[in-house]
Amino acid sequence: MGRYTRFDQVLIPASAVAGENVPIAADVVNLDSKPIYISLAAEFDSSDFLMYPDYALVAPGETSFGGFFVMPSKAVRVTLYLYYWDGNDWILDGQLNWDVSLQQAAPLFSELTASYAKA
Amino acid sequence: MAEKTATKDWVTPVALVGGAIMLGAGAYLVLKKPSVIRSGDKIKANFKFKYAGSGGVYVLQVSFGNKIFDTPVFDHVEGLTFTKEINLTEAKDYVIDLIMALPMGVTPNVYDAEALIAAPPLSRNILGQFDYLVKSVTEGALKVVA
Repeated sequence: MGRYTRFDQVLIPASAVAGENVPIAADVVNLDSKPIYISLAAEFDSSDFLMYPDYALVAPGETSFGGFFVMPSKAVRVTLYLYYWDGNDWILDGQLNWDVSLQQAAPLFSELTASYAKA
Repeated sequence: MAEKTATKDWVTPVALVGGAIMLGAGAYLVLKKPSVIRSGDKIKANFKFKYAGSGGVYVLQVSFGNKIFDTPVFDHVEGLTFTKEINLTEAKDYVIDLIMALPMGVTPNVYDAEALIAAPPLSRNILGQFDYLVKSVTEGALKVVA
């Protein structure tokens, strides 16, 4: 838990097939007694990806951020950074790591056998 | 007073086991034997496979020729490739027959068979091999006689 913010429910798949979109949904809470600006930045293996919205003025309580990245052909670590605005700078107030493993795509066809006989 | 003696009948079980072995061996030989075909005869290729997609049009193809020993390369005999377009509607196990007529004048020989499933249109790679989604090769599938 941070000084003014904390993560609530965060939904990230545990595994994904290479090439598919990996959705991220994060609920974060403003712990302060007044509205504050909150922003959520995200990266996987040090590559940034966009979360929506960029930032939000959040009343005391909860708000949601969402985004996605395209799964590469290897397992990755997703890191979410939670910031609040102190009037001059974005202050890092929380961090969450999540590992996404690579899932093998099921083959379209399998177990083909063929037998031949006079018709 | 006559004494009662028990005798064990060994003949029946031995005959039963022996018969079962002979039947099994016979079935094995029949199944292993290539189908004997003459030019002009019809052949049925029975495809069995699992499909995990959500539907689509695909091509079943059978080619007769010779598998090149210990390689994925199959030497297709010209005129002995047959195709059938299929429309799969859901993910499940399928059993589909491809009926084909052997053309006249096929050289008598024992042929291997290459069965494959591909997405249309069928194309060949730079080695002359057909592109496929799944493939199965049966050695000695067909014996063409004069």
